[in-house]
Amino acid sequence: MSGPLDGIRVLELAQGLSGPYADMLLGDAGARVVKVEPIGGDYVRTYGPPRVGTESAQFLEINRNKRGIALDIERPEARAILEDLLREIDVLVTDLGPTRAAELGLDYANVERVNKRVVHCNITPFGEHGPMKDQPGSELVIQAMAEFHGSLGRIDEAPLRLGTDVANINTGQQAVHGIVAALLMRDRTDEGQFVDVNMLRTLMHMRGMAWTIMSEQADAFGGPHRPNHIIPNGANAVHFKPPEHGVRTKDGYVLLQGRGSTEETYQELLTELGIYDEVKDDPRWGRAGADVLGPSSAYGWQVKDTWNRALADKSTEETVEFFESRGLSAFPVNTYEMLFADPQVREIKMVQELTHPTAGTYRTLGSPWLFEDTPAAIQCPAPLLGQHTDEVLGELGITAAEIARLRSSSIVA
Amino acid sequence: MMGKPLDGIRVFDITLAGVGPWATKLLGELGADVIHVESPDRGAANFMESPQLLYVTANNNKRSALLDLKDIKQREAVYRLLRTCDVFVENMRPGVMSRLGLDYETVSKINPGIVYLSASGYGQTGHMVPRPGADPQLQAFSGWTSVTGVEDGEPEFLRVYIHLDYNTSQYITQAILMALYARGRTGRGQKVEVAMLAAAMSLQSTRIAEYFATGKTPPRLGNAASTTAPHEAFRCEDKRYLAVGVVQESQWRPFCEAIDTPELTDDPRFTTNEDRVTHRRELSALLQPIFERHPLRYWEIQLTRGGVPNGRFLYWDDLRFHPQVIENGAMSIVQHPQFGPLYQDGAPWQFSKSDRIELTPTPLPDQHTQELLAEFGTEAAEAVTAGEQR
Repeated sequence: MSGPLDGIRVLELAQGLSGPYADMLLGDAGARVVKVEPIGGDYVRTYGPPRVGTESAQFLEINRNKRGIALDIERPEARAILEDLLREIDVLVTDLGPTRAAELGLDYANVERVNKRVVHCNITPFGEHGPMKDQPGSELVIQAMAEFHGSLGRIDEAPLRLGTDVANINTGQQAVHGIVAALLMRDRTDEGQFVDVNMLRTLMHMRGMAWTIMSEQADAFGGPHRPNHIIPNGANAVHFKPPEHGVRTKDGYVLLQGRGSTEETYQELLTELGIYDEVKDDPRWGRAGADVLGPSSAYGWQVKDTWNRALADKSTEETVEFFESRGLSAFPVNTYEMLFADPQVREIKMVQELTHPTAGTYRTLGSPWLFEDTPAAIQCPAPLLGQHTDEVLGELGITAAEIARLRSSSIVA
Repeated sequence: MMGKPLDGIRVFDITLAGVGPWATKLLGELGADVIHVESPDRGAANFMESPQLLYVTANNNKRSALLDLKDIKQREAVYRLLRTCDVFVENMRPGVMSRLGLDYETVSKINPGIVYLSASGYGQTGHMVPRPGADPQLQAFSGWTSVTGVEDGEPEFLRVYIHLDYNTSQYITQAILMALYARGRTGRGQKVEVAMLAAAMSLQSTRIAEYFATGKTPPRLGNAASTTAPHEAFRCEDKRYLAVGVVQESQWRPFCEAIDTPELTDDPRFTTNEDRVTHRRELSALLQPIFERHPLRYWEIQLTRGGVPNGRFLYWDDLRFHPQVIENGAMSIVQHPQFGPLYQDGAPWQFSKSDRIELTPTPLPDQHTQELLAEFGTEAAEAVTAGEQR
């Protein structure tokens, strides 16, 4: 048996990162995905540099395990093809503002009319409701709105973003949950349904704990709120510390952790590092290091200079070995070069290879789950624009002559 | 009555800390009957000590029982309960489940249809297995920290140490749902594994793609994006920052028009996204003084009118009254039995033919122990047997 979603057919009418990443996961899990691009291509094809050959590296990574067709969905003849496709599928993924969706006949009411078994997931930046429902979003815009800058950088400096595209990728994950949950429900009801997923709600979900931190007492507005945890400009209690870089070594950074140490081994370690005399009367350095080791510790950030000095002559590798051999814990702050040099990455099969018609052989990540009975599989590279138009339209019973005519009038490519 | 997607699904949840509990919370929100089982000492410790906040925020939509697996009667109750479950989730170190008599071989013998999920830090084999795996360690190890920070500055951690925990939870939830779907076809349960490291890497797909293409870690860029431009924060006349993102080629011309500089579209350095990414610093240096001509509100109106993605850097006090947050249920107020009303996250999805998905409060650690023992305990079993005999 192939993947857990073997037999599921997915139509992707989404561009960007979020929808395509979701559908890539569905494809990894065995679903057959057809990606529908506008005649000019998914805009992520323009992302970069970096590029692999002439292809966007990011496009290649999140569009594997799909066939691709190009269709101008604004044209009436293309709408007819789209309806034929809708009759053949289990899952539709779109990324349209509600107003635009209705204009294109891709609102759920219309999709349901064509095929009531379809699970239709629509991904928006800000949600299906509210004053911003039709506005476009971006990774930075959503991170800014969901207050990620509150846990990065300094209050008095320019805001920072996370380098990782969390708004997009975490939202793609939510789309997968919603879709598979709705497929499970369809097994009982024999009906599909609409699944509403959005980036703002996703990132607020990922920061769920932060909202609770700020909410213990009722306030004047009637909401639960703990005012003493609000500091100037709103950065909150767990995030008020200065930027956390780890501890500097001769050639990089390490994350120190207090776990597993005894008072004795800890004191030996401080002695060997030459800082024991300097810190022994400072109560912050007591408790076997529990208050000075690691970013979550009470005083780690206050004593950072001492650690930086103590480790200035050791490499990251030496530091990790030094701490580990003494029953304490140090983790390298890895670059990607360091991460991919670590054998653990191969151990969990997170590097795979694919061969693309123009980009050649390229590396791609493995799938994030391991199914013992129904394994996921990475089978084909991201499609060229319109690579499977003839094949997919042919499966709908459209003749070669008709496809040629549609192509010459730029309805398909 | 429409019900919820996972109505009728029962989950045996023997997880601790953040990763496992957050995943089963999602299953609970989707309608599953999640039974969170903790050992009496461990459960109490979990609840009463400092990670209390984590516990209270990660265990919504569950029933909670303190059961001692070393007590033969309670263990029998657990096995009886397991026969009625569809899903088993654990996130202990490798080996712990065997000691508790709850390894896959045992559990799948009791219940062959069960989907058994094991979550780990770094997988089940390899040199990292004995190392601790939680958010800060994964932020460091997975490379995530290395792509965040000030341009030409140092790598930077995200100072809420949960993101890579909850990120793993997302893939756990996915894997369970997919395996349940497969079970509908094959009639069999199976063992499924998710490692935090694999999860953290998949989350970084777009950034690792850049590394795969160049062989180098992409540079830290402050608030700027690496493969689209302009896509960064600009300081406005009133010293406030506006997030701006030209993320589709079609947004470039409207952007230039919205900032009253249409002639930029003729500049060959900035014609395509690739050109703009290549000349990012020049473009940024040229745009920053333009934004200083007017206050944030002016640019917000201009860019929104032009259909160009933009947004403010909001804070908690803005968010909890923001119409977009309220109208889309992005935050919940949950009445906790001990702590009263708490702000929490909102359910991440809504379904058109399901009851509304919402959070219920995290139970106290032993809130449902008696209820479950009454249902699955020895006396209950004896009563059932007696009934059958009559």
